[in-house]
Amino acid sequence: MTTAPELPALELGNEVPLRELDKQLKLLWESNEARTKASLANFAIYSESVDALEGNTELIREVTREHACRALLIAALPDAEEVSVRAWITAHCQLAAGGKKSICSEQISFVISGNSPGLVSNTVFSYLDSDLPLTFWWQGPFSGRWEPHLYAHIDRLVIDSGEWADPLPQLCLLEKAWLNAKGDFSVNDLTWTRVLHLRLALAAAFDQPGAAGILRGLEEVSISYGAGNRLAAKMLAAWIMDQTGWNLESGQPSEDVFTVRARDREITFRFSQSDDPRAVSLVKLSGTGGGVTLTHETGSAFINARLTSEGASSEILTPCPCETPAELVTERLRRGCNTPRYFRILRTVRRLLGECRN
Amino acid sequence: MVIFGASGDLTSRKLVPALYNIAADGELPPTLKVVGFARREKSHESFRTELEEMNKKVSRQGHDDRLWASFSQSIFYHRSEFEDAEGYQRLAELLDGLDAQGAGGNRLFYLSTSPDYFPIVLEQLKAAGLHKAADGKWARVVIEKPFGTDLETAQTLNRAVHDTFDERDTYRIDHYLGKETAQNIMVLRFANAIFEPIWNSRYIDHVQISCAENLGMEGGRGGYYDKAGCLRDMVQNHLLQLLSLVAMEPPTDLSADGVRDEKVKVFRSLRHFRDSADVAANVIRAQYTEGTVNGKPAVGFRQEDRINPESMTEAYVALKISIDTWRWEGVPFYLRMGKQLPKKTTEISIHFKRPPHVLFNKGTEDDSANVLVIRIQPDEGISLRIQSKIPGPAARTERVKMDFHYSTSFGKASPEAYERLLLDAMSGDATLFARGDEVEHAWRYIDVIENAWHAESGTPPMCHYPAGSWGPPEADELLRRDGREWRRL
Repeated sequence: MTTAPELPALELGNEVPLRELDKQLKLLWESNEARTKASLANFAIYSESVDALEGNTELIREVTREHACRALLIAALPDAEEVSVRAWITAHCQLAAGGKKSICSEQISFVISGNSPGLVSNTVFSYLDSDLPLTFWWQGPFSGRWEPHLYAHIDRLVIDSGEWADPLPQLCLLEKAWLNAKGDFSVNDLTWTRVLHLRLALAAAFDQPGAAGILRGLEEVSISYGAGNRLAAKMLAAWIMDQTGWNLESGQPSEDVFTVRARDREITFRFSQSDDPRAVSLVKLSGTGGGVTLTHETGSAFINARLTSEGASSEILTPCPCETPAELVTERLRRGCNTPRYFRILRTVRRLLGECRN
Repeated sequence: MVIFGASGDLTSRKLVPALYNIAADGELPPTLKVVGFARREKSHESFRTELEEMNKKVSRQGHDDRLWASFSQSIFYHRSEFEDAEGYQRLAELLDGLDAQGAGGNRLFYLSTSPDYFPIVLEQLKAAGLHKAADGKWARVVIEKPFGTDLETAQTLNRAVHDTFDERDTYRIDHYLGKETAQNIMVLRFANAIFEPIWNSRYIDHVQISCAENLGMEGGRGGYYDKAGCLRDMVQNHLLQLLSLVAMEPPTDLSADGVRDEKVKVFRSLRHFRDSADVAANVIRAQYTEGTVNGKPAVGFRQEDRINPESMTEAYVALKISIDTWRWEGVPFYLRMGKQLPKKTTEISIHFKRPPHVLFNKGTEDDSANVLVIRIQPDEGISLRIQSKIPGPAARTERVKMDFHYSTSFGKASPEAYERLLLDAMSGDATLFARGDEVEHAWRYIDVIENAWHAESGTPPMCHYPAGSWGPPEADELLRRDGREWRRL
């Protein structure tokens, strides 16, 4: 057997022996009575890269500004030959009550090396705050560690399907697990969240007087996405189809141009990649009755929806406050989940990607 | 106070540190003398030195050299075989001598030997006349667990005890009852008007009592454990005692017998399993297999030191208990205890019935039931899980908890269970000690299970779980078939 891999110097707080973790946490709070521990949830981030730990610590620091939680950061190194677990504890504090009170969330970080049955779930889930729900962010593609014992503990799963190089098999694995768990956990896909405010803006635009006429005459939908955000664009397209009742035609829906069928006409979808860093920078729906154009300009905190119909035009601004992963997660945790609807959309997305093989 | 078996771990790790901490609190009777009775050759001084070393490591309030110097002068060592009558005569002389120096004449005999020696020590105490105190004084006996290994041996031991001491002078120790949180169960229930009206089958769906240990058979414990198993080692005493405190009716007063009478009624109301099939349906036994605990590889139970490789002793047990009373009709009590689980914790959780699915949880199967958790150890305290509206325009709810921690709510740390129990035994309060009939009723219930496990045919199966997991799938199924699940600890 080889020894556990050398780890880079990690800024994760105090390293503590695993057996003393609870005791050391207690001491952490007793050492400063001015700090109030707050926790409304367990929030775990799982990654199979040690390098992610420090970035995730920053992420937790941001998320806990709004969502007090017990944070668990996990870096699993299944390829290490020797089984070992190292743990660190720290706290993230924010001033509250006009600066009079320091509200803190505790963070436990684990580096779990080696492979042994139940190693991750047995170790990590012993440190959950018992009565509070568990939000679990799985970073990267699913590995052998994604198994029923693990997801049986999860109340809310966070993923970012946009970061998967080959999303189709991953989405299939996700749906299988969700069905296997009988829908016991909800799913928050950050890629789906990236287009949340575009969806809200689009829905708001079609709530305008006269918008029904635009909808009836639509012939083309163009979506412009930033590098690495093709899946987000496809999700937005699938949502538009779901909302309008348009049916995907057979053929090559996985291409960047395809047609869908409305009751009395065909609608063409066009996807193009832009240099804009935003997930989706432009959505244009056009046809015989006018159109709707959504633009999200760099530096703007708003999505601009412009309706044009019969020579007249109007604009609606929709706030779009989230860009970074921390902002996206914070936004997600504020909201409820409609996971059955997500999977319904996903079925169309899968067809747009080329369908699961089994 | 005479401790029989004084060279054992209990004396140095628990009893003497407990006495030291009572002294640190200023509550130790100044005339108390402690005599360690054991077979090994030792001087008073070497005995004190050994105890001092351990006290430095384990004392709850730390170790003060000046206090120890004073306290340790009250500690003596007496070498004798347990069967040696002459040794008891010399003990009597030693005690008389200490009385002459102002010890006071009361006698507390603490039986911390192997249980095989209990009857012998009792017999010898009687033969030496040590069981009777002088006029106006008392002589009491404290007996460590295990109090028998089944009903028959418990009855035999009870007879041996009663041949020497009256029941009122007998203190069967169950250290769980000395824990603050166990004592607080009665306070929670009967000193707060909001709980007792809902403490019944109308509002409570079920109760779970869980005791998890993240250790295996370290320290040569396998030899004892392979004979006992966790049903006898933990459930018969600790967990059933906790159950009785949760399930009992309000006592008429807080006297020892007032409380113990009500606990006995609970034991008498436990519905006994009918046969092996009934045991198989309601009791899951298991052994751990190889796995990972606290990030370290762990061997299976049968590979442990001093465990028979073909052992059929359980290291885990989960059972569904029914109590036939008006209060608890239809409310199952699920108990589980296991070795090599992911963490060390003991708690009681009271699971209330779900609110009707008409408003906030319409059309969902959400986990909205209120749960009251009494944490026995560690992090002693109480929490109540409730549903709360998530701030924002939508009527969405999320579970939150109200939490009370002993460690932060009160200015000082809770005393160790043995501190409270030793003080109670000295002051003659047997409320937190098991009475003879309690022990026998508990064994009567447990024997049915043990008999089914050791029957020649129709024996319920032995299940398995990887070390470091939360027990066998069969234990999960025990609750799942009732539409319930174990609480996440």
